[in-house]
Amino acid sequence: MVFLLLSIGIVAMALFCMTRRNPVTAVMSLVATFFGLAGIYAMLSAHFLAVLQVLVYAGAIMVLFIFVVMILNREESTLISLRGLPTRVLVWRPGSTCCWCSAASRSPQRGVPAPIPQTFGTVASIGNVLFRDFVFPFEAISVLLLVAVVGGVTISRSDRKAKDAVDAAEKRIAIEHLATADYPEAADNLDNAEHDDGQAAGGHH
Amino acid sequence: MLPTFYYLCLSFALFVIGTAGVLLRRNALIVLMGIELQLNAGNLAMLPSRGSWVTRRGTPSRS
Repeated sequence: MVFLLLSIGIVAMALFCMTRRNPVTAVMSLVATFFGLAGIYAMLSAHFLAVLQVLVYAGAIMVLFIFVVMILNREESTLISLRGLPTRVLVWRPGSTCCWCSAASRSPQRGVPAPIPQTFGTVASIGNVLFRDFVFPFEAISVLLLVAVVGGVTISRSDRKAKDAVDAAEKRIAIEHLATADYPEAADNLDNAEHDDGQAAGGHH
Repeated sequence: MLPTFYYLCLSFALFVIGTAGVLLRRNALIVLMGIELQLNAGNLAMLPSRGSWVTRRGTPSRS
């Protein structure tokens, strides 16, 4: 019964989140969705995961979304758009669907899960699994995240530099056009001077 | 405890909603929210299966 109420609330809030035009309303309903999922996790006797869900998703990620809303602050003109749908289907659908199917294929389709040990879901058991049995994947994921952060910073910085260079080049071309329109003789001299410079440089070498 | 099938149904519903949000919305923020919904659906699909995982591998912790 609790599961039924929670799942109805979760699905309703997720639908509400995906159909709102105002981003702040969508973010708030997503918070409600995450709280409902935390309740589901607590029902599955994974209390530590439920606490982490509230802390990380309903806390950190929602603050991130709110910051993005505050900085961008753009509302959508059209609610649902079919433009670019084939590209999105090609890009998103196979990967994400494969992820969900691989997660679901680990579950037996029917039947009650086996009884679990008493220590399941406690902080101590999760810490033992994470830092003793799976310590290498854990550290590998942390290195991967570090590489992703550095790569993101590098891409954004080099993108800005390239844009500045393009702007400067466009301005220079515009100034040269103005100059040649006003003083055709000066443009001829400029071409000759560049030619002489090239010859002189070649001579020096 | 409820059968795993119910949890998988809920997870699939969340996943479909998230996918629809990613595919149909134009706002980049809403698209990111759809991706978050998909990730949570994946978590929810994986969690009820830990019973079979535990019996296959033994107890998850050595303490």
